[in-house]
Amino acid sequence: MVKAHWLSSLAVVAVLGAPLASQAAGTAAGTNIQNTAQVSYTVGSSTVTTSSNTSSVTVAEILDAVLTIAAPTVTVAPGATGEELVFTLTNTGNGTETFNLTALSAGVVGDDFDPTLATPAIYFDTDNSGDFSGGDVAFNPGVNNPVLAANASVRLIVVNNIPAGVLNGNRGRSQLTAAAATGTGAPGTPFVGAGDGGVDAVAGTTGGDAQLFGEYLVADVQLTAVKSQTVVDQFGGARPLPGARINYQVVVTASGSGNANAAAFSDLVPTNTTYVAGSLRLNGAALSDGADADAGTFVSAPAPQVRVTLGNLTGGSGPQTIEFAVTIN
Amino acid sequence: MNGKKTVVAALLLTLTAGAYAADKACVELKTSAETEREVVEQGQKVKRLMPAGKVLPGDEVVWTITATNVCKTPTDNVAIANPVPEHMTYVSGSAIGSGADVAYSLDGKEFKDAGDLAIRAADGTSRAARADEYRAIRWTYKSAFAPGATAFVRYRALVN
Repeated sequence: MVKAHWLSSLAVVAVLGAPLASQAAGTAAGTNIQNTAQVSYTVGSSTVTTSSNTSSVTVAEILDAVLTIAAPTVTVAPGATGEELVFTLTNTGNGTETFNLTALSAGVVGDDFDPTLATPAIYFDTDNSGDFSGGDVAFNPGVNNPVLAANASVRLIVVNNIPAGVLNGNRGRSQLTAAAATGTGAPGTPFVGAGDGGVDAVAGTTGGDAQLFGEYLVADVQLTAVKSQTVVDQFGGARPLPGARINYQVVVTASGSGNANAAAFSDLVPTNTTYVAGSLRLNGAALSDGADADAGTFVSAPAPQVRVTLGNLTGGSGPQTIEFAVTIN
Repeated sequence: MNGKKTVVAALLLTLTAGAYAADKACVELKTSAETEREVVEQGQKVKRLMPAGKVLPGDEVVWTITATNVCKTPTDNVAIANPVPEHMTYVSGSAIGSGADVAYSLDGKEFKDAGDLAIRAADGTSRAARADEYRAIRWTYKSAFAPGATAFVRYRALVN
């Protein structure tokens, strides 16, 4: 009856709200910039206007890439499978570029354990959901490498499994690398004739590649909910008669070292009872029934239920006490 | 009869050639693109202008326009005009031209002193134009070009 769960939806909202880390790529590779000057003058009584030669310069291709990550730290449980890190690759160069992708989990320095790359390990967010889901197509090197126009982005998902033996608070890193297929190197490294339409390509400030790791944080958090009830009948007793009121109390407690992000509580109103309007409370404070700024909502359809958002809970948050009342029909 | 015809034909040819010479530019204009690069000469790092073939967004191109009077008569009122090329932005304060007054334009038609250019907003207010909004530059020479005289003007623009 009581459901307590945590969602990663908060992180998703943050991603959508944040501007993409893309820079103006500048004039497109291959553009021919032309310049012709004019001169006017008088000889005797006549005015003459003539033009110069046309001098031109061609814009070479800059190879640049930037990776960003939706949530740099993802909480996981020991032994969890299919855990995702959501990256965004942006072509910050000025041409259309194909990128090679590689994921690395074993040997990334600075962490406590090595996550295990799933097989395959890299997926496109094909259904554009912002997370790893059934419709997402796996990256197949040399077959479906991302081809990005200047300033274009693609969302990539790196999937890992978490070893069973890891401990609370342990961190494991997994790294994604995206490299321009034309070439990478120190900024300024030329690739003669290798750019769009045969223009020269030059490694940009990023060197033509990008590398970024995400981190799995082992957070073995559990949420427990204990529900109790008291019956008050209209005759001053405690008998469950039609018209009697049942006061419910549910205490939700987080334990363990991790965070339960965006914890939400919901409870169905029992059949043959009717929710008492305005009876919802969280930690003694009344909550309105409407879907509004406060944490509580009463939903009448399809099944009557009360919902309370509890936010991020940790072992230190203490018990969260939810109260509501119904009457027996 | 035959001899007369030849003379007429030769005369026509001379006239045509003469007209062409008068039409042909007395001031020849040459435009070139260069970029400034650091090179080592005799152990010293110096900046030199090198021909710009390929450029990258953000690069600075030095445009040089050279005017030469190739006629045997002086030319007066010499004015060189150059639109800032498409995909480029004029670099503030970079226009130079010895012996010439420099004016700028936002539309390529109306040229004014740098301080006199204004941009009018939709609500009727106006503000001074910024150098990166200049779309053309004009150099007007104060004195005539003697036969054989040459002069150059120069400005810098960034690749967008």
